[in-house]
Amino acid sequence: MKLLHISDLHIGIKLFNRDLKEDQQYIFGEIIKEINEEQPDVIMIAGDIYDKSVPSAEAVQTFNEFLKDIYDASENAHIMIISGNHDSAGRIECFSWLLEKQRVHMVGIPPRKQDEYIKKVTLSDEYGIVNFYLLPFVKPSMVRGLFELDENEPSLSYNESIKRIIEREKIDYSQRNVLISHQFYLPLSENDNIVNQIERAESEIKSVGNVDVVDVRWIKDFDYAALGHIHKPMKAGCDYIRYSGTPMAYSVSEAGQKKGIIIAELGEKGNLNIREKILNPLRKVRVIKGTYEEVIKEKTDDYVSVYLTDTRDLEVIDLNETLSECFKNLLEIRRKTIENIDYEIDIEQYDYKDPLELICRFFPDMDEEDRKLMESVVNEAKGV
Amino acid sequence: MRPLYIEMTAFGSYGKRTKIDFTNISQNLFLISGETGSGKTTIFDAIVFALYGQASSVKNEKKGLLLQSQFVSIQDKPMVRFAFEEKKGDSSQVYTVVRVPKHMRPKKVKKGSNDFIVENGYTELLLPDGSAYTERNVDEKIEEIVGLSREQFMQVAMIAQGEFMEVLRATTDTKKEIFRKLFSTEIYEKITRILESRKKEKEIELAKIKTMCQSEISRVIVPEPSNNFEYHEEFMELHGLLMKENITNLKDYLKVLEKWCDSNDTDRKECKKELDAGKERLKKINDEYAKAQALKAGFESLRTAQDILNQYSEKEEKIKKDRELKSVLERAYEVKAFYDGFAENQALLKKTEDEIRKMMNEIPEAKETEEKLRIENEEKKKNFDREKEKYISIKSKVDEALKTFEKIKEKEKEYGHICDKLERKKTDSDRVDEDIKKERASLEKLNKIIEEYSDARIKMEKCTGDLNYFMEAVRKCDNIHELEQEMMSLNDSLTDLKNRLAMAKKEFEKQDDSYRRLNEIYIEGHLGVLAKEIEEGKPCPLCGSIEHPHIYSGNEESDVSRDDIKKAEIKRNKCNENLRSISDELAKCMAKYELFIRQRKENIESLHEFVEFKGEEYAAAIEARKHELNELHKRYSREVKESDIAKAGLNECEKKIESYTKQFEELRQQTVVLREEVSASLSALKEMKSGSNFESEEEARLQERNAKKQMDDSGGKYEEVHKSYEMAKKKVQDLEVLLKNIQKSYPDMQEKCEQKEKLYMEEMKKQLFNKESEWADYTRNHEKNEIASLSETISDYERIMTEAKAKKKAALEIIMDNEEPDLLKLTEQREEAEEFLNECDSAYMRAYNRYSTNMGVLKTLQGHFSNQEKTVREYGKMISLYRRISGNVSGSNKIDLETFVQRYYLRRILYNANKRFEIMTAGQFRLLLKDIDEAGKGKNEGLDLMVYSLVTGKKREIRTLSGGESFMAALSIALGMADQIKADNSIVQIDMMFIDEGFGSLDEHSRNQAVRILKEMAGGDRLIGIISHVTELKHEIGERLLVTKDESGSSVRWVRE
Repeated sequence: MKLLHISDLHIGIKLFNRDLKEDQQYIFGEIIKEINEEQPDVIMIAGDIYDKSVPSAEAVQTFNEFLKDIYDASENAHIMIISGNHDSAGRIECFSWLLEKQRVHMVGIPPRKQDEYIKKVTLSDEYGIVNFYLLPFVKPSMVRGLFELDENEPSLSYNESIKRIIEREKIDYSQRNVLISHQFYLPLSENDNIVNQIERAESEIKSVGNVDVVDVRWIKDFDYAALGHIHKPMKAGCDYIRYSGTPMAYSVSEAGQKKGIIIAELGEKGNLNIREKILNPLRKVRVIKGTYEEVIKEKTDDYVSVYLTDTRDLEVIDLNETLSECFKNLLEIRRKTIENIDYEIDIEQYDYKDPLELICRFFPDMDEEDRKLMESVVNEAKGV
Repeated sequence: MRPLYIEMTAFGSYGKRTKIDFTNISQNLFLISGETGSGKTTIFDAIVFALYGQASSVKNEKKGLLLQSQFVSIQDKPMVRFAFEEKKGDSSQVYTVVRVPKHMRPKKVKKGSNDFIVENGYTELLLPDGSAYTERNVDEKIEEIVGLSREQFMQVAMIAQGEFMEVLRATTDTKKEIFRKLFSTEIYEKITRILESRKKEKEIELAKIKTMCQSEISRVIVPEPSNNFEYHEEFMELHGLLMKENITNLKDYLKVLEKWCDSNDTDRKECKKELDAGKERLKKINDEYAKAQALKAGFESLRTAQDILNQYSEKEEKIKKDRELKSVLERAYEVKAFYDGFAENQALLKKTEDEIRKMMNEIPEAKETEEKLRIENEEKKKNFDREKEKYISIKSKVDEALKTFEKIKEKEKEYGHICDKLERKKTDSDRVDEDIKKERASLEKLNKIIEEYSDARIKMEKCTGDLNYFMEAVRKCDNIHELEQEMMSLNDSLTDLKNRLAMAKKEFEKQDDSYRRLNEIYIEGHLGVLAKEIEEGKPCPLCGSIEHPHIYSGNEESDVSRDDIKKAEIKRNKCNENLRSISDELAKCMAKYELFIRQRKENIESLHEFVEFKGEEYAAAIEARKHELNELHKRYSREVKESDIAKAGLNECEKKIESYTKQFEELRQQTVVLREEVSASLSALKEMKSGSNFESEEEARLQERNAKKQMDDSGGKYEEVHKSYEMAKKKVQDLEVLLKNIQKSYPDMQEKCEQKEKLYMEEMKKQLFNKESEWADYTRNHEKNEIASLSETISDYERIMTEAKAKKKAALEIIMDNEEPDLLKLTEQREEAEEFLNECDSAYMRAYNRYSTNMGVLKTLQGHFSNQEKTVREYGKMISLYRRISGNVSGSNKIDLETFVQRYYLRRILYNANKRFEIMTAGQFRLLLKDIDEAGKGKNEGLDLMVYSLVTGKKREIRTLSGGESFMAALSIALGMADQIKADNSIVQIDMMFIDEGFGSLDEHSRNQAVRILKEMAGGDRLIGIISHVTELKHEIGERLLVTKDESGSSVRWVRE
């Protein structure tokens, strides 16, 4: 069975207040091309469909078109979509009962009461059945009801909640199981400091103090885990537990990352083949460093963050305009100047100042008598 | 300091007690959201109020009464309780502040009145160990614990709505104060002040020097134009300058003054010379004058002496006479003295002779008496001795007897005791005996009672049985009564029924009648109809005959129809039924009634069993019988009771009797014993009494006394006689002695007398008197003191005469050959010379004064001058330093020392702030201090901030930032300051930050950046709270405190998405 894994579409996102609608539509076009080419059996979108919980009308329309295109492009494929932390769970869940009839499974709300379980879609191929578990973004407060907590007891941690949700499913791991989930999974047991080492992008929402970290070992027994949430494509501890990353760069910190989709081919149990396919965006996000002279030589339509390395004062009146002409989609201009260095020196030297020295600095032309006088005054002030 | 929880009661829009717990949240960054006016800012107000007593906004001050909630009644006291912890090293200490603002509360006195009074608020601080801080300055203590004043707190930890611009735009002076505490630059301010005070001291010194100099200079005696001083104008000019203004020209003046002093010196010397000359001249004149004066005096005295002599020569005659008289008197009195002596002695002699004669007579008498008395004396003595012996013997006897009597008395006492005891015992036994008798009597009585009522019990029981049995009868009687009552009611209903029956019958008859009539009419009518139809030969419908002899010719037309008849019939039937039913009822009632009568009769008959009566009088009989039985019962029960009591009493009596008898026995025995004792003691007594001499004590004493008395009497008599005998003896002796003496002295006296006479005679002769009468006259006529006065007068005269003579002589000597001088002229001369001398003197004094003063002034001024130079120089230095330090230099750099120092620290803050500001503004802007050269122009702008645009490379004032940019700048600065405070690890450690709105002015990107920065900060241990209504923030920030408001006030709730 062939699975296509994308996530974190963030439809409607703005980059430095610029609308990326055109770029997104372009990249969705590219994805459709891939679908046409690959003809997967299952298309999985692992969360963060929209950028905001209340997406604009345009964003919804864009998604509408994208879904239509996917639907048209794949005749018998199942489309599995979960909500992420940027989405509104309820809105994603909307009309899911109707969509199900058309092979589109949209899950926004995780199990909340003790008689509810993770949405499971069972498909079969020549090797047998494959269970797909669609677990949308879980916040501990959402799933309180599953764990018999008192009203005043605080909710469990993210880690503990996910662990228990998976455990109570009583998954038969002899069959092939695929998980689609949108959480911050990390291989904590491998590396204690991995939290700080993970490369995060500006466009992600980070929790304060990384409370949403979940240990990846609770999902290690799945045959494949299609994850979303991290914008950079990466593995989470194992080969078959992957973040597909965003389809295109959504912030300056993602400039230069290789974005794409993941194709996973499931054979019989134990047999898994994973491929990555690169997507080329309409306009790249880049950082251009250099002096002013060097920089204005380049011209591009890409989304550019300019970092001027000039150390001296630029006698340019219309810096902004010139740069805007060169780069139509200029995001920001940053400069490296001397004063930066100055501050640092200043701060190191003048750390704890003796009042007398400061006074001498204040009066560069003080003679011996004056100095003696100020000395006596300073001593009196200190109470000596 | 990190907040733990805050509790508000009746504060702002929070009516009931609301507690917000900050310790229970998972992330340190939380959002406070709610509708407009729901009470979000009030939470911050509460925190600031708890710490500082005022609500958060600096511009919009709210305190006291304004904070009291209007959502609850005035009864509830507004209060805020805020707990926070301070980390000191590793430990954290929890402080709790409870603050009540000024509020209104209802007056407790009058009920129902609507008076409120304003009550002052108070503050309590609970220290970590649980004790309360009891000093008066709680606010200061809180400020000390927190480490920041309210303004500083509002800059760093709490950014209030709309007021974040304050730090940005504050003037340097305001900023200086805020930073002073943060950076501990108080020392510089202190330095400035010390320098200022020193400068002032120097100023005072200078002024002092100046006044001293001026006062000295004022003492200078300036030259007059007449002095012809060379440098007169110069001097005056300088002098005037120095007096009026400052003493800068002191040096020149000193020079001129010196010269002037020299000229003074020469003047002085000249004057001195003149003075000396004048003195000489005066001296000469004075001498002359003195001489002349002496001469004049001599002339005068000569004249006076001459006068006197003339005067007194007249008196000479009289004086002579006086002299003579005096001498005569003297002589006479001499004589008299001797005569007096002689006369005296003569008298004395005569007296002595008389005395001798007397005594010769007295002596023999006295001797006789003496003899008599001696005899008596001896007699009395003998008597006395006798009596004494008698007395002694009696006394010994009496003593013995007394002892015996003592013993007897004791014995008698004993006897008395025993008799008493005996008596008492007797009375006791008598009493007991009586008791016994009494008890026996009552015992008999009780026995009697018991006998009497022995059968009372039986009788009583029987009576009870009778009574019970009789109750039957009573019941039956009651039954009968009931029956009678029912019968009466039945009777009533019977009569009622009968009436109804009668009525119904009547009704029925009526109906019946009418029905019959109607029927007849109908039939007649019918008949009429029929009759019409009847034809001969046709059968009659009624009877069927063919013949109709009498055809009915009645009323053909009748208005009675068959229906009517039916109706009437029905009515009649109804009446009939009615009648029947009534009669049935009546029958029933009658039957019942009959039954009752029968029953009654039966009952009455049965009653005969119980009681006799006639006919219907059973009730009374039964009553009587009942009464009888009750009485009996009562009587018998009473008897029973009494007999029971008696039985009980009986036991007691018997017991008492026993005990009494025992007592009686005891007493009897005791009595016997006592009797024996009595007889014993009585016999002893008798013995004792018989063995004494005297009858009784009294007698013995009496005898003794008598004997004593006699003895005393005789003793007394003896004494008397003895005394008088002695006296008589003595008298005789005295007389004899006296006589001897006198006789001895008599011849001497005689001699003396003769002598005296002789002397007198001699004297008389001496004084040239022949006869006594001569000198006696004089003594009689003239007193002795005349002599003295005469001699006085004489001597006076002589004295005066001699004096005058002497004077005259002296005067002549003085005068010699000279003539009388003319004093007047001389006086004139002298005066002239004196005047001149005075003038010279004063001139000299002036010159001397002037010289000495000016010299003195010169010297002191020279001293001051050197002092002043030094001081002026020092002062000049100081003032320039001070001006520079305090930024008061005109023209250039107005930056003062403290600002200069604070700039260093501010740079560090800006470095930290810029790290965030750059990120937030996408690298566009950076915050700077104003350039030090520029910041000093005009006024002190050393701490003003500038914005440096990295894009254009140019600086501009911070006021040119837009609203959103200003917010970002303020936020960055606040964060920078917080960093600085933390890094310095100083006393102040603020682990919280609350931001009230402001995010609405940022666009999406900036807001994201801002939130990201805040999240970074919260990642440490800083608690950050944001009030905002921006919807997107709800999504991005996990923890949310939702504030809602309804009619009972605001309430809060933690919401976790």
